[in-house]
Amino acid sequence: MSEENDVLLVQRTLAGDQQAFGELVQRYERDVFNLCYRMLNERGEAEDAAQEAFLRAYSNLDRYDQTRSFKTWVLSIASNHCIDRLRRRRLTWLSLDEPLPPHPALASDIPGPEEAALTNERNILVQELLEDLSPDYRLAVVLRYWYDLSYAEIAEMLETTESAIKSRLFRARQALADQLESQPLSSLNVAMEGS
Amino acid sequence: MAENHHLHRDDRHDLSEEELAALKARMEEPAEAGGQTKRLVRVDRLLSETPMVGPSAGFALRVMAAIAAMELPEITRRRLTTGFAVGLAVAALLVLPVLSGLVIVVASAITNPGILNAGFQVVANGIGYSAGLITDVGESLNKAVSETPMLPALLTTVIPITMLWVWAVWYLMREPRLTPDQQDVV
Repeated sequence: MSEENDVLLVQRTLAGDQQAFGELVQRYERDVFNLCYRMLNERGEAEDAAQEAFLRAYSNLDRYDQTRSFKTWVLSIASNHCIDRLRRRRLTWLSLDEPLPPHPALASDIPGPEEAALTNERNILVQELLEDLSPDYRLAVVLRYWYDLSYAEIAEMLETTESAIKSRLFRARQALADQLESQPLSSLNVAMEGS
Repeated sequence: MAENHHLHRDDRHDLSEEELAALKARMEEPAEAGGQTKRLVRVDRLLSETPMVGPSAGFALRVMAAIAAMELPEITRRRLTTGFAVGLAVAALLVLPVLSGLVIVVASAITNPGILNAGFQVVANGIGYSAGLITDVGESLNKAVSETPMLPALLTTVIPITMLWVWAVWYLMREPRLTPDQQDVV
C-alpha cells in the first residue's frame, strides 16, 4: 500500500506537484536521517547529508525506476553520499572530535528517565562501536539492523554480491563483539546481560 | 554426558599425551563455540534494540525550502537563456546587412591600389596627429602643474574620494544578502 502511494507521489511530483515530494520527505525523513547519523556520527552533518540526499533524489526523480522501492532508492542515494563525505572527511580532518552526545529528542518517546538514560547510553555505545568499523562494514551493519534489508537488497544497493555482504556482516559482527567485550562494565552492560 | 565425562576421567591415565591433548581440545570446543555465539548474540541484541533516531523538528520544511531555493535560479536561468537566444537572433538579423556591406567595401579597397594608397596616407596622418596631440596634452599638463602647485595635492585627494564613492554606489546597488537567521531557514 505504501509502495503504491510512493509511486503515486512520485508521479505527482514529476507532474509538477512539489507538495507530493514534501509528503515523501516527511515519510522517509527518519529513515534517511538515521542512516546518515549512524554513518557520520554527528547530528548536524547528518542533517546536511540527509537534506542533500533528498535534493539529489528530487533532481534525479525522472531516473527513478518506479518498479523498485522508493525507500530503498533514496537510502542508496544517502548511502553513497555518506560514503563520499567520509572519504572527504578522511582527507581533510587532521583529528577526530569526540562524538557529540545524542540529541534530547532521542529519548522523547521513552516513558521513564531510567529507560531514557539507558537508551542514550546505548546510542552512545553503538555510535562508538560503529565509528571503529570501516565505512563499508558500517553501512552493511546499518542497513541490515535498522532497515531489516535482505542480503540481496543490500548487495543491490551497494552494487556488490550477496556473498560479499555476508562476509562483511560476519566480520563486522565479530569486530563489534570484540570491541563490546573490551568496553568497561556499565549499567547498560548489566541491563543487556540481564535481558 | 556427565557419565561420559566420568568415564573419560577414569580412563585418562591410559591415554597418550597426544590423545589427551586432542581430547582436551574436543572437550573445550563446544564451550568456546557457545561463547562465540553468546558474544554475537549480544551484538545482535544491542543493535536490534537501539532505536532509530529522527532529525530535528522542521527538517522536512527545510528540505522543501531548499528545493524551492534550488528551483528559482533554474527558472531564472532558463528565462535568461531563452531571452538571450531571441536577442542574439534579432541582433544577428540587424547586423548581417551592415556586416555584408562592410566586407564588400573592404574587399573593393584591397583590390584597388589607389584607394589602398590613400588609406595608408590617412593612417599615417592619423598616427602623426595622435602623437602631436599626446605631446600637446603632456606640455599642457606640465605647464598647469608648474603654474598651479595645488594640483598634485588636489589629484591625490580626488582619487581616493572617487574610489570611495564608486565603492559606496556598488554597495548600495548590490543584491541584498540573507541574514544568518534566514540562511538557517533555507
